[in-house]
Order: sequence, then structure tokens, then C-alpha cells
Amino acid sequence: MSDDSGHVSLDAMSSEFIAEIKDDLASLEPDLLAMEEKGADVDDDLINHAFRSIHSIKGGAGFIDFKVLSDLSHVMENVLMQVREKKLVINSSIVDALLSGFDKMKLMADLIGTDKTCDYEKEKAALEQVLLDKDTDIKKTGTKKKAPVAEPSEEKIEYEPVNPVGESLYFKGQTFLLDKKRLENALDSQKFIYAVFIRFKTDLDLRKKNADAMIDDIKSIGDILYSSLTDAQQTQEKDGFYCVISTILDLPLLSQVLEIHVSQMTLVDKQFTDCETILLKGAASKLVSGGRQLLPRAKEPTTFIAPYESSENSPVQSATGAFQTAQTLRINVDLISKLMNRAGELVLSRNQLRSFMESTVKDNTRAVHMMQSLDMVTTDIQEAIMRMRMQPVIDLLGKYKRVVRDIARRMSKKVDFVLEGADVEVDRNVLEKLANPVTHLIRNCIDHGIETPKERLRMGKLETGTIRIKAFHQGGHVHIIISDDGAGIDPQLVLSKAFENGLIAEDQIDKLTDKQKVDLIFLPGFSTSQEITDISGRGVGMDVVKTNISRLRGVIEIDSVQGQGTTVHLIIPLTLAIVPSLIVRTGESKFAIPQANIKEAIYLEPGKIHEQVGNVAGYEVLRLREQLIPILRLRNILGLKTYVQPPGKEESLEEKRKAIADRRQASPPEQQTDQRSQKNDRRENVWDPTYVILLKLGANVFGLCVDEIYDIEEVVVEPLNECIRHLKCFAGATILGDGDVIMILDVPGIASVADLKFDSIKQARLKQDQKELKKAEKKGEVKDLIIFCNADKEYFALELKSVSRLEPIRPGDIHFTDKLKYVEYNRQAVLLFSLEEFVPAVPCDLSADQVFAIFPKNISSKVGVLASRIIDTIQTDEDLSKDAACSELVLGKLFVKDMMVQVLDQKKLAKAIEQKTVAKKERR
Amino acid sequence: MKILIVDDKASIRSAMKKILAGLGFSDITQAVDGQQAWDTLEDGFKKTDQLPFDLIISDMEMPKMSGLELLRAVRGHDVFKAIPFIMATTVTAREIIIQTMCLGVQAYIIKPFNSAVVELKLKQAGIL
Repeated sequence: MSDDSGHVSLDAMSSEFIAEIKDDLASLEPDLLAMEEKGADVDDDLINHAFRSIHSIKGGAGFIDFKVLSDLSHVMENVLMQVREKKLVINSSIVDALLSGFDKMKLMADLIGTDKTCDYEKEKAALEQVLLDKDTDIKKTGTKKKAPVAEPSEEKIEYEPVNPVGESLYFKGQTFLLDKKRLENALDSQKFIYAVFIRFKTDLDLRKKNADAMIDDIKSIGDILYSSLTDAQQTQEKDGFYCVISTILDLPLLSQVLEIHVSQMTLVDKQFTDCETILLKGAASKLVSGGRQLLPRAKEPTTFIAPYESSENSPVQSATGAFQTAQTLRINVDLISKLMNRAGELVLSRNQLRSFMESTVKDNTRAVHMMQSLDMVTTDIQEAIMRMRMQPVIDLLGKYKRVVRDIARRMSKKVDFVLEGADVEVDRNVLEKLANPVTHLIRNCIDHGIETPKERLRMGKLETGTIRIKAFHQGGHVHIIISDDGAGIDPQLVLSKAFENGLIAEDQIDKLTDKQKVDLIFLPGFSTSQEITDISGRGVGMDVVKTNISRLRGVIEIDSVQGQGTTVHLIIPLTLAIVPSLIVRTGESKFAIPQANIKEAIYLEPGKIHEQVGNVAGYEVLRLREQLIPILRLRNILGLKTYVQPPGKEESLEEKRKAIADRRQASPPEQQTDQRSQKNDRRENVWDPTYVILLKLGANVFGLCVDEIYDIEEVVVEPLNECIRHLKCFAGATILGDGDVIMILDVPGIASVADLKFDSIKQARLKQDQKELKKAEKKGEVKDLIIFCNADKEYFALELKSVSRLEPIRPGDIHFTDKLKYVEYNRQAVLLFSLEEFVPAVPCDLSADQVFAIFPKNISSKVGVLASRIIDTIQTDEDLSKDAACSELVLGKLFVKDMMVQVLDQKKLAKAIEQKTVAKKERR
Repeated sequence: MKILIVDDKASIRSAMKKILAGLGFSDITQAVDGQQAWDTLEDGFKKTDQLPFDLIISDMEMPKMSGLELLRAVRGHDVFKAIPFIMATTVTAREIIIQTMCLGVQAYIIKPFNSAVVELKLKQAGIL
């Protein structure tokens, strides 16, 4: 809909203006901070950029008729203008004023569309004070300076006593004789005709301007149709003189250019009244409202915001869009979230369809192909939508520059803030939830980490401390490392605090490493102590930080060197919406465990469980690779009733045994009596937990016993309903491909429900280790050795556990390149070394039909050691004897079956091989 | 009537475009700064050997090349100097207005503008 004049309304565009205002505000803050940092050396680009931002905000605010914002940005702009013109040198107080103005602008921007009143007098006054200070500075040095541009409030003071009544005083009954032709020309070209009264005193003398200069100014912007200057000079008129001017400039601009108050100007021709109304509405009303408005608004101009009918006007140019190089598109977050949810549902439907197809449609290739392409497209869509929600971390971390600055200033500390990896992207949801913990960590850095400048100097450090935030992607996670070069955390202080608060038992104190002591700050309850802020430790609310990070399924680690600083390492998943999870079953229920939490899955052999599982410090523990890992039974944690089917009985009985070890006799299965067949043995019953999923919890690991392990699936996390959200064990729910609704387990939650205390297990283990060490000392360790040789009577051995595999090789298959031996294995070139390259030995006979390659473990590249023959593997507990004749790579000698065997030190051998590999690579 | 709108803000460009469309102008090209505007002018001239645009409406404050610099370049060009030029800006600094006026613009629009203002200014510039 257009009105009579065909005018279109811009009302519909307000959201665009608002979005741009917010963008400009966001880009303004770093500019202001950078300006402060650089001080007087600030470069023009930076100021120009900041200026343009402010300027655009002012413009945008005008369009949406948001007066307070456009007013404040106008004052901000004035200050920046002075900076740009080098009339003002940037210092902290100026930046303070600008930043407080900025904060208010931000507040205003948030108010857009709601309540448009916002008090900004304080900020405005501060900014004006900056300008005022500058002026007094200049006055002191003797150069009188004209009033700053566009400061009507100052002009007002000067004018009020002179002209209390308004324009009538100047122009009432006044007539000007104009050249008709020139007037018509001006009117034809649609120029405005103004009558202006120029006061000698205020407009010329006070501004150190003479009449000729004023005339020149006028001529530069328009034509003079009439001037009473000569008359006034002749008649010794003291007040001023009249000019009639034709120009294209609007009244406020004319006032600006000529530095004459608007009340001393009027449009002389009646035909302009309408224009004036239009311009008053359209123009930056501030300039006019600063003084008295010249023309009364005849009527409230409601008519010219015309309704806009888009269909009529939209087919505007498509070929001319060459410069609409918009690479980005603004999309409402809600819309993306909706799309995201829908995509999640699409994935679910796809999964259901797929499992249905897999089970029913087998011989229809067309259907299978269709399923495949649907599969692919769905995955693509899902990934694309995920990417849409990604936001660079700078959006969050960039804000901290300001936080750091403000806190540091408040605490009289000097802190630099360095941000690396600003363009690393994270899911929007994750980023939002990171804000609180990261703020907390950074506050702690300044509050407790960075010392005062004095203290730092005394410590021989740079006066200014540094807080460094580094963000990077690694393995489906985003890592954020926050480090400072401050005082670090005093482990003793943390320990005594924790002890005072009863968070740690006395007998534990001595056993803690420094790192463990520092980690005490994560204990809940540690934060309640207020005194900790007074000492140079940190730990205010760190348990909350940890909880927040855990809730993001992230990990927090803290590393502190006293006197040198603290590093906090956050590892956060890229997204919360879709989680690759392992599906497990316990009892009759399935559960999903987020893959990020899983370290490994262990299958316990039914016959060996009693060897691997024991009881330490009140926990069931699994002995795995020299480690004791506490294990929990999911069914116990969740209070699930489980059933066992006793042998020979039809019905199931409720499982009552609490511990796994209870159900195992100490005797291995082969010694069982024949009375029970293996099949009916209840120990073989499927209800028995035979899988242990090892789960990571920070630096600790614990096991979760489940009955069965299925596949890893990408599950879409559905939040829990309000009424069950308090259940700690669950992170959410999801729907599986087969339509089952299952719960997603929350690993930290499970650990806390089970009240796992890793420390007590570690201590118990320490004791046990010592016992075993003593045992081992008494009796030599049993070793499995693999014995090989190049020639008779010269035998070597490696421990079997340090060898990954053996391969027979035909010497004819060995390729020689630059004196290096290679063999093809699994289509890869594997480097071979001969034993004699490391220890004194008879060379391997490559003319034989067959040789062997031994592949030691713990070597980064694929490398094998050649041997002519593999003799045997033996088990021995003989001690090794080492004498001076032994090569460095030899652990020692022993006699087995009449052979003298030199046992090679696998670690040293690996090292020697690595060195050689590197050396050879370099040589090449 | 071919019009070139120069402004670094997409919202302002589309506002102006909308208004111009409402006033019956549909052949509108946009540029995000003075430099791009200048390149567009030169490209258009090279291709057709004619005045590439019948009107330029430009912002003042822009990265790379400001509206004032664009105006100076246009006015200094043998051919382009004939193109009517309207400055549409929030800049009200005295010196800049004087410089702009000295170089010669057909109209000076103070932002925010609305359809009525633009119509008035187009009349002033002799376009309507």
C-alpha cells in the first residue's frame, strides 16, 4: 500500500537497522580498548573504524526513531571526531568516558522496541567534560577556540539573553528586496531561500571571524541574493545584518556551516513551509531541537509514513545486484533451533527406516540404493545445520578484553590480555554455557593470579601481567587454555584451607601430591570460604566452574606452578545436540554412554573374573595393566532389579549378590566338577556382568559394569522433562533407530551418586604396591622371553610383552634403497634394521631362505629388527647378570637350556632405533 | 534512470533502494564503499562509453574511500563530473559540509531520511 504520494515506509526494516546497530556496537568495544592500549600512537585506521561504527549507530538509531541512542552516539561521535582530527589525545579517562557511553548505548540497544527512555545524562556529561577539558586546555595555552561543532547546549547559553522571543524579533515586518530573476532561478532549481540575521557580536566577534569570512562561507555553500552588510556598516548598525541566501542545504546544516543559531534563520518563501515540515520530521531532529524550532509544526505529519505494499515495489532489479556481495545472511536463532530439532527428528526417522529396511528389505537393490542416498543426504543436512549454529569463540572470548581491563583497573593491577585462535568455532549453545565458567576463571586469574605491579617487580617479573587464552580444535573437542603468569596456587595454602573446612581427613594430608592439593579447590564447599580471596590462592566457586564444565560434558584441568602462574585447560565438546554414544544394556534396559567419556571397554573372561576383580577400600576394583580401577555396577547405582536364572529352573530369581566377585568361585572353570555342564552354569548366564566400560572423569578412570555392549550410535540428545531433571545419573534421553527410548548416562553424575573417592583407592593401591614390591624383591620376577639369534652360540632375547609381532621374511623380498632395507608389509614400506647395527653381533645371513623380522612395541614408525632364527619363547624367573662386557643395550645375561642369552633392553633399543630412523631420514 | 547507491551499511542501502523503488526508480546498483563505487563507474564507462549512471547517492563515512573522496574523484573526471551527486549522511561537521558544497553536490540529505525527504531532494537535484 502506498499513500497518495507513493511514499514507502521503512518501518518493516527496523529489525535490519537494529541488527546492524548491535553489530556496530559489538565491533566498537574492541576498537575502544585497542585505542586505549595504543594511547597517543593510535593509528588512524582504528579511529576511523571506531568513528564509522559510532556514526553508523547514530544513523541507524535515527532511522528507527530511537532518539536517546542517536543523541548519545552523537556525543560519542563528537569526542571521536576530535580524536580523529588530532585535537584530542587519547588517554584512559577519555576511553573511560567512551566506554561508559558505550555501555549505556549497549543498554539502550537492548531496550530497542521496548521502553525507549533511558537516562544517559551521566555518560553524556562525562563525554562533554572530555570535550570541555580539551577546550580549557587550549584556552590555557592562549589560543581561543571556537565552541565545538554541534554543541547546541553551549550555544544556547549565549543566545538566550539576546533573543528571548524567537524569530519574530529578527524578521517581523522585515522585507528584502531581491533580484527577481535570481530568485526565480533559485526557486526553479528547488533551492531553499533563507533569510539569515548575522549578529556582529556573537556570530563574528566571539568566533574571531570577520564579515568577509562569513560572506565567503555563505558563498561556498550557496548564493547570496541580498545582503544588508554594506548598509549596516554605513549606518554603524551595532546589532547585525541580514542576508538572503539560496542553497540546497537544510536549515540545521546551514546553521552548522555558518555557525549561526537556527533561530536567526528563516525560510522566506511560503512554498517551503511544506518542505520544512518534511525536513523537520526527516532530518536529525536533534540539531533543531537543541535550540528553538524556527517554524511551528503546522500539524503532526502523520501522513508521510506511507504504508508499503511490497508486491508492487519488489521486482526491483536483479541484474544490478552485482554488488550485493552478501556472504552472510541473518537468520533468527529460534529458526535455526527449530531446524536443528527437525533435523534431529529426521535423523531418528532415518534411523528407524534404516533398521526397518535392513530387517525386511534384503533383495531389493533399488530400495537399498534409495535408502543409501536418503542416508547420505540426511547426514549432510544434519552436518550443515550443525555448522550453521557454529559461532567463533571470539564472540565470547573477545568480550573478556573489557572484563580484564575493568577488573585490572579496579584492582590497580596491570594486565595484558592475549587471545589466540579467535576463529575457532563452537556450537552456539556450548558457547553460551561457557560464558559463566570462563568469566569466573578469568576473574580468578586477575583477582588471585596476577600480582600487583609492585609485587611483580619485586619478583623480577614484568610489571604487566599477561592473561592468555588459547582456543583450538582437537579430536572433536574444542580446547580452551586460560593461563596467567601470576603467583600460581600455593598447594599448602589450599591444603590447609581444605583441612580447616573439613574437606579432607588428616591422615590423607601427607599422601597428596602438589597437584592433588591444588585440585582440592574443585571440592564442593571449598568455595564457601570467603577468606580465600584475601590470600594469593584461588578457588572461589571452582566447584561451580567444574560442575558447569561437566555439564557441558567437558573436562577441566588445572596446572599451577607456584610463582610462575596457573594454566586452566578446558576441553569441551563442539556440540551438545548430537552425541556419538555407546549403547549398552544392563538388566532389561538399554542406556547410552557418551563416547567422549569412554576410555575403553573391557570384556571380563568368565573364568578369570576373580583374578581381575578385587576389593580395595570398600570398592570393587578391577586390576588392569598395573592399575586399580574402581568399578560400579550400573544396576546397583540405578537400583534396577536384576534377575538370574538358576541352573535347572525355569523362572528367574531376583539377583541379590552385590559384588561381582561373590558369584565367582576362586577356582577357574576348568577345575569345575562335571556335575554342572558349562551351558547350565549360572556363571555363564547372560545376566552376569561381563563387560566393564572404563569411563574418564577428569584425570581419573572408573569402570561401569554392564551386561551387554551394542554399537556406537549418533544419538540426538533430548532434554529431560522438568520432573526428572534432578536425577543426577542421566544427561538426557534419546530415541534409538529401533524406536526405543533410552536414557543417556551422565558420567560425572554417576560418579557422584556412587560417592567414588579415587584418592582412597589410590592410597590403598599404594599400600598394596609396597607390599607387592617387597614380595617381588624376595622372588625374581617371572619373565616371558623370546629368544632369537643370527648365529649359533650367540643368543639374544627380548621380553615377549615388548614385541608386537614376528614375521617370517624371504630375503629376496627385501628392497635396498640408499643402504636401507625395506620390506613390503600390508602395502606399506617397513624399515628393517639388523641387530648388528645396535649391538656387537654376527650379521644376519641374508642368503638364507628365510629370516625373521621382530617388531618391537613403542616405536612410532614401522620398524623391524632382523634375526636369522627364532629359537623359542621361555618363561624364566632367573635374575639377569650384567657385567662390563655387556653392550649398553643389553639388560643382562642369563643361562637357559644351555644357552647364554643376552636380554635386550627394549626401551633402549626402541630409543636407538628411533634415533637411527631420524638420522637416516635426515641424511636422506 | 540508472542510480548508484553507495553506503557501507546494507540497511541504509536497502532503505534507499526501497524508497527509490517507491518513487519509480528500479535500475539501481549498490556499492559498499567509495572505491567499489569508483570501480563500478569506470567499468561501466569502459563497457558502454556512456555515462554509467544518471545519479549517485553516496554516504560520507565509509571505509577505503569516503564519500567526499568519491565526490572529489567524480568531479575531477572529465566525463563523470556531469553526474548529479547527492550526499546522504549523518555528517554535520562544518568543514566537511563546506568542502562538499565547494565540490558541488545537487543535494545534501541528512540521515535519517524518509521517502518524503528523498523525493524532495531528488526534485532539488533535478531528477524528479
